[in-house]
Amino acid sequence: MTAIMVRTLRAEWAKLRSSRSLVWTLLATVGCTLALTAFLTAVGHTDATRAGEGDDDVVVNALFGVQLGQIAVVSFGALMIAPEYATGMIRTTLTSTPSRGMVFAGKAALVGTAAGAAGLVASVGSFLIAQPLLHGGGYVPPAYQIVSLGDADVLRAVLGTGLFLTLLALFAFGLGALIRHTSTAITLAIGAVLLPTVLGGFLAGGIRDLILQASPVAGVAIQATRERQVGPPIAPWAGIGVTLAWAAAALLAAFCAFRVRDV
Amino acid sequence: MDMTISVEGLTKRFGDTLALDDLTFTVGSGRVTGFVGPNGAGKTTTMRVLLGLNSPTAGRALIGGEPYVRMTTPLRQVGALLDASATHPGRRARDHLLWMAESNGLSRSRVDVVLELVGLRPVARRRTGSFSLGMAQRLGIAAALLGDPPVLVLDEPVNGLDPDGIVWIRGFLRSLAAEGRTVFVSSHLMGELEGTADHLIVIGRGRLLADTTVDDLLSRMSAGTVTLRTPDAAEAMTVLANAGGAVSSNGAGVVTVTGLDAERVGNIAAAHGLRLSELTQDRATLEDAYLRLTRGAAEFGADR
Repeated sequence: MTAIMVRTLRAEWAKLRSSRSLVWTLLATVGCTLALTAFLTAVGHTDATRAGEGDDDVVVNALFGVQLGQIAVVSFGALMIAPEYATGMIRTTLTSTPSRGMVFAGKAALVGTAAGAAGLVASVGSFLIAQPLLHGGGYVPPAYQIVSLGDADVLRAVLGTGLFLTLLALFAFGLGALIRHTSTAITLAIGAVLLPTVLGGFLAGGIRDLILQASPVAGVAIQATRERQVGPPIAPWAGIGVTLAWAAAALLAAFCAFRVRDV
Repeated sequence: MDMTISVEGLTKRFGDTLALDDLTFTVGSGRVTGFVGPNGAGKTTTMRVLLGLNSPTAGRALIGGEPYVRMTTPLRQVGALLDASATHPGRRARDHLLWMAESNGLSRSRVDVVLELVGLRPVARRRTGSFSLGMAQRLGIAAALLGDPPVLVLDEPVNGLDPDGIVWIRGFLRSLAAEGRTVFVSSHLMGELEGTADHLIVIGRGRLLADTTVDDLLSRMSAGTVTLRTPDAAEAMTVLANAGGAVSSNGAGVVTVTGLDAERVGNIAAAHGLRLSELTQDRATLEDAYLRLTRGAAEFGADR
């Protein structure tokens, strides 16, 4: 890495550490995920007693908290840049580091790293705290297998969930840089992750499938470890690919605008 | 190291608005250069282009012969104050300076030095959202000084300061220039720069109106009139007119003379035994000179 890259990353890291809203949204990403998973797995139970009887995916259940955590993580992504426009801080940022490519790349790298770390802690933590609670709720053999992080599919689902949250944060960061207005950016980003989930729950058939295949939250399919009637209508990695495409599109559009806009 | 700011044919268009219209000037080191013009004249736009924040429609702006955006550690070369309240309100003052220091590889000790310099050391741990405008302005000045730069570009630094602060910043700007730095300071009030600026760049409607020293501007704009107050007004008018002056009176003992200097008027009065209670050489104030310059700009603009 060049000296200027190191300095830019250090400066952005210093900003992140000293901003309460950024620190809190990262903590909330972990906290909300763990809390929702813990609550749902603690109150949930299954009546299935024979193999093949139950249609739940225990890994999906153990990671369900990201439905809440994703709201916090997109807020984090948008807050990494949009408020700089509201306060005028972006001008201080760009007079300190005039290379726009460097500033954008530095911020995006930090969003990816910080959201990735929080996302990983959230997904691994969520999976681990869910296991005894699921077992207590009757998710035990023979109806359900005992799962562990050592299983390839489980590991993919858990690490993939961290990746999914990371991509959502980058998507929201792109929106924030493009829109330059904090509350609008956060509202749009939350809408983009919540609406498909909510609509997916209400609608049925082709429209539901299309929404869950093409929306930014298609990547949640990475959590699936078995075929189910109500499972996601897209393969795990294909789903991540769709979320990645949304994040890449948002970042690309944002960078093109960021590079030439007057501030 | 060359520390000259040079603005060459700078033009900036925002949609239909021509904010800067072929602006050319240079700002030298070792003196305070005032950058004045009415609100909306293009001062802030010029500074933003200078700092690479806005891209010009035509022309260029260089600092030390180099465009700002090429600098890798710009805080060491140019200190800028644009908008003092441009800090994250939830961030502590010291943390604001710390991230800036990190961005240019400056030592943490510089942060404490500049906080001390602007008198913010006692409130360094406070969040900037709780700062008054004057405190925010001081923080902005601290930020500009962080890299100990040879060039300072300050947009309305006096804005929001209390009288103590104004006296402080004036002395401070002068001392920075005395150290050989280039100090480029904008203001929409000429009076703020009186006694501070050595050189003036005056703009109106994005055009250069004057690029001159303060002394030149004052003598150029002075009307050269002498005012005297006397109970012998009628006689004074006669003798001064005979001596070649153009005289007028307000009828209440005040006579205004053009074409004769104060010394000459005094001598004539003494020779004729006139009783004087006041004798004043009128000299344009900087504010008057500025108003006359910018009024011209407004007329010019209206004619177009």
